[in-house]
Amino acid sequence: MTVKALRAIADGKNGLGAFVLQCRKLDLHYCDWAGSSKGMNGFIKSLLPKFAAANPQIEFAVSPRPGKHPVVVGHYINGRTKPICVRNLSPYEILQKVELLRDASGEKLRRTNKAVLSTKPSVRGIWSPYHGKGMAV
Amino acid sequence: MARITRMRRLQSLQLSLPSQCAANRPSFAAARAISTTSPSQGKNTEWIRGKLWKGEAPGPADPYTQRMEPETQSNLPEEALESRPRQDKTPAAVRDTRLTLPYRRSEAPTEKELQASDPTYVPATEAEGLEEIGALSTWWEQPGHWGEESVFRGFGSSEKVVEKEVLEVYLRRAVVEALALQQTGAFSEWATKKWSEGASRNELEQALALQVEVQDGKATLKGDASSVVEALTSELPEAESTEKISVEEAKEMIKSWDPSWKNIALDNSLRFALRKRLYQLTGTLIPDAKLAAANTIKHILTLAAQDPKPLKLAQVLEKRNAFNELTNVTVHDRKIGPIDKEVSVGRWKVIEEELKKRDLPVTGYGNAGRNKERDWLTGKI
Repeated sequence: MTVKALRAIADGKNGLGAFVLQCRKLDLHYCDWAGSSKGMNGFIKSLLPKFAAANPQIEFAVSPRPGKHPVVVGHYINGRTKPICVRNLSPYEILQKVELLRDASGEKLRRTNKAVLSTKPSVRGIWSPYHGKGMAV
Repeated sequence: MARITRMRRLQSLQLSLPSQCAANRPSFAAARAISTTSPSQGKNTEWIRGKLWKGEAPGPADPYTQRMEPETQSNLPEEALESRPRQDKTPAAVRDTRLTLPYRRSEAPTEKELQASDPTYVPATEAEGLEEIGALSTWWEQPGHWGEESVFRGFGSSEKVVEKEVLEVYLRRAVVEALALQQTGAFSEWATKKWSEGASRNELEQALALQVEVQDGKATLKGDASSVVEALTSELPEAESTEKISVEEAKEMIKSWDPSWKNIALDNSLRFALRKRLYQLTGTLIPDAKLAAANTIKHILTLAAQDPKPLKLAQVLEKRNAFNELTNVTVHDRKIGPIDKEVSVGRWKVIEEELKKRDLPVTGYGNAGRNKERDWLTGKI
């Protein structure tokens, strides 16, 4: 279930409005037995307390998933999720992935080859002073 | 051509052999019925025989079946041929059991037989007043057939000791008891017998009160060894529950002993006695293959003691209180399933209610069984 009300607030209109972190929740899954979870277990033990304290607006859920590779799943306020498998990664590599998830918007990744990204793109394009007939002052 | 000559040779050989066997016992070929035609078919050919012989035909209608009945003779000795009474084939374990086993199936005499033996017999017309015998399936539930006394009680302790310190205390007790038996000269007699379990605390303290002095791997006991032997060899009724000592107590006891007792050299008899006693007291059985490598008490302790299981991550976090101050972190000690997810949203009680209303199983498949089609597709079945 997504929180619709927040969505409207969080829709940044070209920098207007308060900053709300798009990442809502992070699920951290590990396995007690498997070797691929070694780094994840170390991360949860040593780095997560500090990271969670620094990001109080994100909810963290740590839970085992026996017999599976470790996964970090980011939940975003637009209703999307972003899972990253962190098997065989060291705790610091996992920290990078977790930071990536925290900073992500939750949108699908897409190529940005325009200077402005607008929710309502203009039909006429961006005004330029160097084009057209010019303006008599 | 060669084939025919060989046959002739064989025939002559058979004729020339005046064998006893051939004289007494007819050959298999003679014993079997060669003719495949039934006697009724033979009657149908009577008319053609009459025509051929122009009158009454000589000889039997079917010459093949008119053979001499072979005498059934056996070359077994006479003792074997004598009819022996059929032996009881029930296994010895079943025959000598102390359990009351179900009766063998017997057939009731028929009404006629009964009337012949007892003319006053009147068959019952209704079940009232007749003796009730339970079904065979409920035999062991009936009183007197299976009780407390029939339940299996193992030699080893059912409560297994896991802690290394407690195990060491019981090993010390076993060593003291074995040495006491050796000193009093009763070891060879009692090595294979069952020692009194001595579950009470007094017997433990009595054994541990003795001092063990070790010199060049050989141990001597100081103290009242005879009382320990007496407690071991006495046949007291076994206590129901055993008082196990705590880890803290065990640690204090170990501190008070001189560690040299672990260097006592073991011979085969002592090795097996210690293993047996340790199994009886703690439920820890050292495997045979590993026991042979144990030369001192220390080795036995290493073999018997197991490393404690490593803690799970959730337990470690709980122990450290790592996330106690952080309200945004929740640590689960088991997997989050679909039901947990519904519970966290508050939807589960609604789902449960609706499922119950429709008489559907809340968890599992109920009577429906698993989805078999999926297994068909994946090739599991």
